[in-house]
Amino acid sequence: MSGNICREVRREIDQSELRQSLSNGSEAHLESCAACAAFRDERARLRELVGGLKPVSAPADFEMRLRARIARERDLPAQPFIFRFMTSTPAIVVAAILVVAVAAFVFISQQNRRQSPALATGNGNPATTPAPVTPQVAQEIIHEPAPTGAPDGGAVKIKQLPPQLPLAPRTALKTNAPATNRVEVNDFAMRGATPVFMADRHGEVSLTAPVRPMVVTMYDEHGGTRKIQLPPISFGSQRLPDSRTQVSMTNMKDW
Amino acid sequence: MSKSIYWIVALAAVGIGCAQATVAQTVTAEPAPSAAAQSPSPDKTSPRRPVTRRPPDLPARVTVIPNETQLAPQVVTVVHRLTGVQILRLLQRQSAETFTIENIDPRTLMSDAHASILAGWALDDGKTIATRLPQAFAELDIDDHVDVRVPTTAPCAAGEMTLTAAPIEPDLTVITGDGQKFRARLVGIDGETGLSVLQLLRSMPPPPPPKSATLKPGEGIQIFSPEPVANESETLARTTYVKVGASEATVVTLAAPDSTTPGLLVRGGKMSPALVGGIACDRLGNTIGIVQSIEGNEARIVSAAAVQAATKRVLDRQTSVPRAWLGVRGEAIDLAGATELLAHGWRNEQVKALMNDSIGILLTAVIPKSPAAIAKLQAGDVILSVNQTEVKTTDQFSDVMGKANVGDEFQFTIKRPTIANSFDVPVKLGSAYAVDWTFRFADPSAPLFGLQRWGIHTLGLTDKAAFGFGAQNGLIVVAVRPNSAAARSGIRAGDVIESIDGRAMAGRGLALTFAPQKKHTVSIVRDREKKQLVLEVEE
Repeated sequence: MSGNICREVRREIDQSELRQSLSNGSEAHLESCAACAAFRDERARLRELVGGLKPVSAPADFEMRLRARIARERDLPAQPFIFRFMTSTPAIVVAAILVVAVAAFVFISQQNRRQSPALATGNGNPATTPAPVTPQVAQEIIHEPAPTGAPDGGAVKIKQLPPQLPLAPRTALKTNAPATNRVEVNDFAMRGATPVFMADRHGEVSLTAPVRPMVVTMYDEHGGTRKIQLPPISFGSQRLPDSRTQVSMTNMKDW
Repeated sequence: MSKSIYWIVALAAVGIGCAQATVAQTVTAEPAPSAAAQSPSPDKTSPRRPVTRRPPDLPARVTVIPNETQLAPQVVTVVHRLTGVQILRLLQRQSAETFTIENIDPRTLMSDAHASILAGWALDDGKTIATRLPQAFAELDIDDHVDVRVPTTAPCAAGEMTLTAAPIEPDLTVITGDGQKFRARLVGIDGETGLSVLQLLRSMPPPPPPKSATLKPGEGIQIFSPEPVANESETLARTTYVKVGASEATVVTLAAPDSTTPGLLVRGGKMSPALVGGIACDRLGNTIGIVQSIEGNEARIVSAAAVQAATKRVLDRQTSVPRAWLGVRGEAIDLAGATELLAHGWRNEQVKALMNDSIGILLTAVIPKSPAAIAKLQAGDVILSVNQTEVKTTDQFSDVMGKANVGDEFQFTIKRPTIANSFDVPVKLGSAYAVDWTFRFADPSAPLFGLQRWGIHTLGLTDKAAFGFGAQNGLIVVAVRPNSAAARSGIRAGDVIESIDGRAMAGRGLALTFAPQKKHTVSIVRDREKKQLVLEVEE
C-alpha cells in the first residue's frame, strides 16, 4: 500500500516542473517518507543542473555536411525499394497489384468513354499523339549526328542543366528508340554534394588526396590469397606493403 | 472475355512499370556498338550488363601549413601522388612472384590512390631537389631500346639496363617552408644511395648558403620531416594538415671521409619510420644528410657530400644511375655467430676455426640469375678476401663494392663447408637501382615472352574482377613500354585486354604465343567502353 503511494508521489514529482508545489497529500507524504523526500531533492538538483547548461549550437558547417551526407547516401547503390518490399511482403504486393490493376482498368475504361471518335480513330496525325511528359528539372537536349549506317536520325542526348537545380528525385525519360538511338540521361541532380573546403590561408598549400584506402585482393601462382590495404597517405620514405625482410633491422646487408 | 484482356493488360502494365522503375536505378555504361568497335566474338561479348550507379568519391585534401620559425629553409615538403594503376605496377615489380587480381575497385585505378609526403633538400641551384621517394619505382620504366654499345656522353656499361622516366609525368609537388608550390619532374634515382633527384619546372629562390660549422660526435642535430598536425581552428573532415616538424638527435659516429656507406649515425628519443627520408641539419641549419634507415632509436644518415655526389651523377646522365650489384645478402662472421654458420652447413670444428679467425663475410642468400649466382656462389659460402685483400666487416666489404663500377671484375677467395681448401672465384658485377633487393625489372638480356614482346606488362584478372571493369575476362595493363608496338597502337596502362585476334585473354599473359602475323586485333575495355585497336608488329 505504502509502495503505491510512493509510486504515485514520485510520478507527481517527475511530472511537476521545477519548484512547482505538489498536492497536499503528496506534501504530507513527503514529510513522513524520507526516501521520497530524497528522491524529490535529487530530481530538483538534477533539473537545476540541466537547466544551468548553456544551449548547444550546431557547428557552422553542420548544414553543409549534413546535405553532403544525405546526397551521398541517396546516391549509394541500394536495392530498389520495390524489390525489397516485394520479397518481404508478397501477399500485400499481390493485393496492391490487384488494386492497381483494377484502378488501371477503371481509368482505361473511363478514358475510352471520353475519347472523341476522331481521336479514337487517329490516323497518325502528330496532333493526336500525346505530348511528352516534361520532367521537373531543367534539361538540355542535344541532337547528335547519326552513326554511319543508322537508318534514322541521330541519338538524342538529354542533359539536365546543373545550375539552380533542386535535389529532385531521379527522372528518367522513357523511349522506345532502338538500341542504336538510345536516350542517354545524365542526372546531375543526383550527384553527391560538391565538397566545400575552407580557402587556404596565407602560406598554406592544399592538394587533393585520396579518400579511402585502396584494397586489392590477389592470389599467387600457388593459390594463396593476399589482401592488401594501402593507406591513402603515408609520411616519410615508407614503401608500400613489402613482404621482404627489412635488412636494416638485422646485421645483414645486401650487395 | 474483354474483361480478362483488360486484367492481363493491367497486370502487364504494372509489371512493365516495376521493371522500368528498376531500370531507372541503373545506367547502361556501354555505348551503342559502332561499326568500328564490333567485338571479334559477338556471341560472347555482346550481352549488355547494366551497371549499378555508384557515387563518385569526393576528394580529400592535404594542407601544408607554413613554418615561419623553421631553422632550415632548404627543407621542402614533397608530395608524390600515385594512381591505382601505378600502385599495381609497383606491387608487380616488388612481388617475388606473379599474381592474379581477385578483387579491386575499378574507380581507384585511374584516380589518386596514395600520396607519399616526405622531406626534400632544395640544393643551391634553386631547382634541384634531393629526396628519398619511396615509390619512385612506380614512375620508372625500362627503356630497352637504348643500344648500350653506342657511346654517349655518359656511356652505359655493357649489359646495363637504362631506367627512364615513364612518358606520363609523375605527380610530384614541392612545397617550400614559406608556402610556395612547385611542380617537379623526376630526373632519376641513384642506385648507390637510393635517392631520387627531382627538378622543379620553374626555379625557386635559392636557399641561403651554408654557414661554416664542424660536426662532432655528441653534438645535437635536428631531423626535419613533414608530420600530420591537429589544426586547432579547423576540424573539417577529409583535410589532413601537415607541417614540417623537427626531431632532436645526437651524433653518435661520423662517416669516414672516404667511406661510401652512410656511416653517420645519430641517436634520438623519438625515432620513427616516418623520419626515414628526413633532412638532418646541424644547430646552424646546415644540411648534414638524409636519413636512410631507422634502427630502434638510431638513424643512419647519408652524408650531405654523398647526397650531392649522387645528385651530380643523376643530373650528369639525366637518367637513373645504377649501382654495382653482386646479388647477395650476408653478414660478417663474428656477427653471424655459430648458429648461423651451423644452419648453413658448416660443421662444429669448421665453425670454431672461422670464429677464431673472424675473417670473412657469410653469404646468407644469393639471388637467382644475379652476378653472384652466375659466378656459382652459394648461400653458406664465406668470402674471405676480395682481390687478395681480407674482409672482416660488412662496412669494409660495402666500401669495396661501393667504389666499384658496373662491369668491374673481382677475384673473390671463397671458403665453402663442403670443400676443404679455399678457392678463387672471378665475379663480374652487374647493375641494380634499389639499395636493397633489386626490383623485378626485366633482365634486358633475357628474351621477352608473351605480351611483353609487344611492350605490354599485365596482371591477370579473375572473371569477378574483370566484371568490375565491364569486361567478361581479361588482363589489366599495368605498364606500356614507351615506343613499343603496344604504345604505338594506343594501348594504355589501365586498359583491360579482353581478347587478341578473337582469343580470350586469361591467366597472366606471360606464356601466350601468337600467330606470326604483322597485325593483331586487340579488344580492350577502357573506362567501361569496349574498343578495338590494331597492333602492328615490326619485323
